[in-house]
Amino acid sequence: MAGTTREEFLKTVRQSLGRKEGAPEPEYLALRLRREDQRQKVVTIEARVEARRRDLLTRLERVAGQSGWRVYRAASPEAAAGYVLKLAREKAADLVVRSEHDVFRRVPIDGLLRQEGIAVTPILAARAGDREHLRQEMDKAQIGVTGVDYAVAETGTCVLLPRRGVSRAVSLLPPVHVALVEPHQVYETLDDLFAVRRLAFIQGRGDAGSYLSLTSGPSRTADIEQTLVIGVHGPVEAHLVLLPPAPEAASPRPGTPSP
Amino acid sequence: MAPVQVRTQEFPRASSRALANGRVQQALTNVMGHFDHAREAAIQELTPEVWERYRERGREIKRHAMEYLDFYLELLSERVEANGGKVHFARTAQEATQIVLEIAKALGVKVAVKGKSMLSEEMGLNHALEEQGIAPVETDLGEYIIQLAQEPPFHILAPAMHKTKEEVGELFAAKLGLGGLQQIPDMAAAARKTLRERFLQADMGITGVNFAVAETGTVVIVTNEGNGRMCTSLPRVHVALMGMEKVVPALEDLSVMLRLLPRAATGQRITSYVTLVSGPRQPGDEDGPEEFHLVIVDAGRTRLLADPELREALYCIRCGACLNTCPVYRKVGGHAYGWVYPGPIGSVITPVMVGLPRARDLPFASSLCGACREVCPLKINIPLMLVSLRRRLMEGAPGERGVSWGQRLLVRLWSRVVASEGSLRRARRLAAVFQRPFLRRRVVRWIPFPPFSRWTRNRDMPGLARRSFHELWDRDLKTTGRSKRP
Repeated sequence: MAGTTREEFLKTVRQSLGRKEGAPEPEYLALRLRREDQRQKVVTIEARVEARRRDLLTRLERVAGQSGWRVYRAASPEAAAGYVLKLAREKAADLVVRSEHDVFRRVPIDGLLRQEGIAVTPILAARAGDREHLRQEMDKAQIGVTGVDYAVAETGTCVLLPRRGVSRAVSLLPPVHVALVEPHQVYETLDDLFAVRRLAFIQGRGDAGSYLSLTSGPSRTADIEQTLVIGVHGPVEAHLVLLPPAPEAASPRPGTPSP
Repeated sequence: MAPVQVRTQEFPRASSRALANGRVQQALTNVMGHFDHAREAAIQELTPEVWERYRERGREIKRHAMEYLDFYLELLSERVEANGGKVHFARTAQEATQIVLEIAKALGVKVAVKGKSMLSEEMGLNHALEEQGIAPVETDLGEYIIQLAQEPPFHILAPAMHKTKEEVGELFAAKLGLGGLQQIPDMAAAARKTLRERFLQADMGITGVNFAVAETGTVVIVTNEGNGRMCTSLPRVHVALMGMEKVVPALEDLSVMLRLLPRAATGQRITSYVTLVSGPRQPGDEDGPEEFHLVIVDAGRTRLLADPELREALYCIRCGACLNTCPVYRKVGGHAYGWVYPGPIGSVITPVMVGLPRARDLPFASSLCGACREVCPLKINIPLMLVSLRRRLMEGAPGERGVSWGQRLLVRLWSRVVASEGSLRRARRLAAVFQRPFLRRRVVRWIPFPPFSRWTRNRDMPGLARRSFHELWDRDLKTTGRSKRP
């Protein structure tokens, strides 16, 4: 195999730093918090965002709008499903793909769309054939609907953690992406998000998941004459549907296993 | 298979050509202000105080990461492998190219889709892939345009910013058979359609890396178009190319870096997409590559690391803010600099990468006004580094020197003259006499004999005043504080 061994490479780096041997683990605060401390940190974050929930939702709505999301605040899960249906009609869609997030137990889009003769393919059903079939479905679909795993008010960001039932492509290949956001998923800042993800990493014994996708609005470019164009490779339209809180206790976050 | 061609020696002529090129000047005038305004507005929205705090934190993160670079690179590589990825180390750009080619050959890759990577420009990777019968397809719209035009990037962020929409339309007609495109959105739509097919058929995705988190073995890719997500999701192998300085220690460091980069680059709070890749698809995942390779590249970076005066250049996160604000870049544009990285930071990095004497004009392609340092999100002291390189060119080791003995003699003479008041006064009086034949409306425009002819060819100097400040001071100011003769 071409290239240099790690040992050789690191030796050169060390020499450039004027060191003969490897450094002991440096003192670095963000690396030093062990599991229990990190958990405490996240507990504090959860308490803060819980106390500020209303403001955070307003902030998310505002910032997301500025980032190019089309934000819809749904009064009920049914209204959210109705929004997706309206969108599907507008786009004359005949195929909608969706992820397998828990939120679809509350938001009944499958039945509603099928009544109108619009095919809805949940990911697990689509890949029943094979993965190639799954990809073709996503490339054909006019709309991709997903839940989210986290949202960040500071930046108007929806965060997806791809896994079983949550494809990377469902929010990427179709020209329209709809993200359904539940209030308990909203954090205040990027710091909050990465603190929560770090806890998941520590608790999962070093498994950070293979991928984390932060989306803040539609795909865009300004590569020709610095003129902004919305919609290049990713979705041309990005819709953020903000749901009311679930009546029962909030469902646990997928990325935050309990201690 | 040679890395990208070095044309740094041609800076004087190439910059003159750019200045005389009306199209390039028009493009620069149209575009450069946008970037500056967007960045400034984003900082105002955040408030300059908060921005300053993030800059300090970001700087501290990079300073620490560079000081313990060996530790963090080792941690990064262990964690990426624990995630199921494969890590490669390359001392040179050629080695990095070899690694990519071997991965591609082992998997029988025919088409490789590429996200933007300046490192791959250093490597001349596209050329090397083509020679092996592998089609590299740039997928960032700007990169795609200049790939079709067979040109190097003009700007590290907006590689095709020197092309008008008419030129892009002609290019799409000639190279893709898509005639009649006049509006920019139609061109973007055409690129979407054409490149979508390539994404779906590609066997390999190649991307750069904006940040690499040592703690979790994660590479972070920041994009607006979504091509980075395509390259990391659809092909069956993903190869990420990173300069070794991209590493940050902890996951939580990202929040600061992600606040700095988009604001400094395009004035955005955050880009449309930020993608964190920690290895290949996991069992149960619906999609994603079967193989993930991370190539960690030195290619001259350890020379910066070992150099106390220049190490800060490794803090650079390639936002382009120093290009956008630089009075030199804003006139001569990106191609004149003759290598991968143009502008102020390029004038520091390039000489170290290609050899100082070969790039001897670059440290002088600056008025040392300090604007680059002001706007740099990491507060890199670029002017100081340019001065350091100038000093080496003048009096450094023989391998670094880049000026003739005549020039050195002149500079020595000059420093002797200005070192004492008496000699400065005498020299001034002498010069005041000698300048007379060359004065045109009180300005010295050109002195037509060497060594002054070269110096004055591109410079106008205000003529020396009839009376020097010294004389005014002695005569009036010292006692009255007021000049009788304006």
